[in-house]
Amino acid sequence: MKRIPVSILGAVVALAPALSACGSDGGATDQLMPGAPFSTDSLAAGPTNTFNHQAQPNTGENGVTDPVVKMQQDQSIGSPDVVARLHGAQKVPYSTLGTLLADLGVDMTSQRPGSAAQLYRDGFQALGAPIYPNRVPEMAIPSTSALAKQYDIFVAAAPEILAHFATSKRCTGVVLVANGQFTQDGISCLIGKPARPEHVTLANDLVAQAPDATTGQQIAIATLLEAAHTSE
Amino acid sequence: MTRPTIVHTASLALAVALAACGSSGNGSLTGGPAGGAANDPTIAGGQSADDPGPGGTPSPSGSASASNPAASAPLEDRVVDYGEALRTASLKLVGELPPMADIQAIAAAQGSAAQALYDSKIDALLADPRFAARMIEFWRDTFKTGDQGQQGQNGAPDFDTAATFAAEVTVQDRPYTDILTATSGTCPTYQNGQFVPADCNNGAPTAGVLTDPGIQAQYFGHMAFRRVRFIQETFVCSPMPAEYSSNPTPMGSSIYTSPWSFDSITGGPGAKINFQDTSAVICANCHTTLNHIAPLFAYFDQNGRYVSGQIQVQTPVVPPVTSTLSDWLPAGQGFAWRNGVPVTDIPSLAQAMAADPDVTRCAVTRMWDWAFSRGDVVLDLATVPASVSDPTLKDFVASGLKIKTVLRDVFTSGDFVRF
Repeated sequence: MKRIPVSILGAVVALAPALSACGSDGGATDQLMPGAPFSTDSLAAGPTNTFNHQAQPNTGENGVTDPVVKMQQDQSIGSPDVVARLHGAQKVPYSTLGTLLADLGVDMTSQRPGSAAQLYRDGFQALGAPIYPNRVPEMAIPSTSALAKQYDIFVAAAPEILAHFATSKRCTGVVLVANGQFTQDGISCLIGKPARPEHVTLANDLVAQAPDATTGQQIAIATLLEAAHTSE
Repeated sequence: MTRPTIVHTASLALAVALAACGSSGNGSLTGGPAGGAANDPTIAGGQSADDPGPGGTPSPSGSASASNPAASAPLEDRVVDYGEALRTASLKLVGELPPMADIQAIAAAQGSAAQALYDSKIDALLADPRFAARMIEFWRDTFKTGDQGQQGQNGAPDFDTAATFAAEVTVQDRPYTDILTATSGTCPTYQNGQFVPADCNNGAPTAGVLTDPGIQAQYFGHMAFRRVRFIQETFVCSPMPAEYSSNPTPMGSSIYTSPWSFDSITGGPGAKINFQDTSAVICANCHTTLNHIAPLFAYFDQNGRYVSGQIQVQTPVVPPVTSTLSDWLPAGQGFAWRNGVPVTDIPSLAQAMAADPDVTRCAVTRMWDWAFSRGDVVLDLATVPASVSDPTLKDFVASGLKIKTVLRDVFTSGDFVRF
């Protein structure tokens, strides 16, 4: 599978020079506001308040990817044409993750500490959920913390998924584990695409290496989900 | 469980996770012999890199492989995987995984039948009621505006209406330009799976989302520049400067690149803000465009209410004062979308934008980036070369600017189904 490598450079700073200031260096030649002292409350320029036209709230920076870094990343993959035609790596949207878990039989109303629902609710910032009042959209590119939090949630959800799989909204009547072995259909329903024999082999290997079957099955479920949803 | 066991198991788990996000194109998760799923027609919808088949395998767009084989190697390593494509498309378009029956059907389909089945599933997803909710989320993220409990606080408007209206235009297959130019029903709500039309009633001469109270409140700021930046980046897909002269001129510390006359904006010793300053950067490179648009949006207050005849924004001098028209433009200067494209009010600005080919291309770029999980075209610099987007752009124009046409093109493209 070829995808552009996950980039966690979403917060990399770049002050596009042409956009970063009108006047702004605070020197004697700055004539932005002739005769007026600089104010830190002003959206105009000042020695401690360069008008960062790209400023994004709560980041302290402008949120724009460094063009040089981006170019270097792209060149390691191919031409702009090639880069544009490859799938990137995007995290599952926050709301979609909640729906996905509920459809697999996870009680998303649970208030139990450590439950998947609790981790999901408390983890909305780590998961990159939008904060529209701050003009922050849903994170488009997964951060390390988003992927780690997602895995935590899948681990917490695994016991519920294992217990309720065959009666879940999504996989009603589908057998996930038969005679202690994962089934291909069960994994397909779990991850949302046709499972390969390798999926089944690896899942059962995880079970075999665990101290007990139930623990192994839970780890396998969490791992399969994380693998499937690392790059959508 | 002993600690070593945890570490061992976690390592194996990590290996599985990593294998899903890169690795070779042979589909092997175990590091075994090449082949596996990629050569197993029952797994990847009957397609493989080695067996493209005479029919049924869509051709990837573009011609990079023909012109520069080395540069296109990552493309050639991909394999068609309709199962993965359907899963990704389903998450994008309806926010849920495909049902088990579809997974089994796509796994069993062979050759051209697999492609036909996949294409039909994309059509079904675009017609699915859940698509509307996903589009509202898409437009919220595109506009960076959504209601999370702010409505009603200190007179704040509904911050969801702009995204809801854009989603309504998309779902109902109306021309994309309606998002900018519609003169009524631009503040709908979405209730019980239905769009409920409504006008904004904020006193503004209506022009799509441009006069939406939530948008105007969200981007309230000094001299309405933030509102212009929103329009530029959202609908043109590029930051300022928006215009370039064919004859750039050395000036002050840098180069003046705008096609406008340098003195077409306010500046000089008597100005509150000297937009003709050249000591650090050339303000006019951006502000010749900005200042000819911003005054149009200066009459919306911080809650998005339009107050006819009374400017509602401030000029950031010390202390800030209510702006006057002369703060942006000298006497004799009119409003304009671009140099040589004069406008008189927001509705005429919307018409000028709707006629701008950059706005049309931007719509395609945004949909492409969303489908391919590439991030934001402005913030993440996820540009899409014309060589990639032109075929879809042609279809978009031919369809009468229907966004669903773009989405169908992209989600069924040869590139989208290859991983």
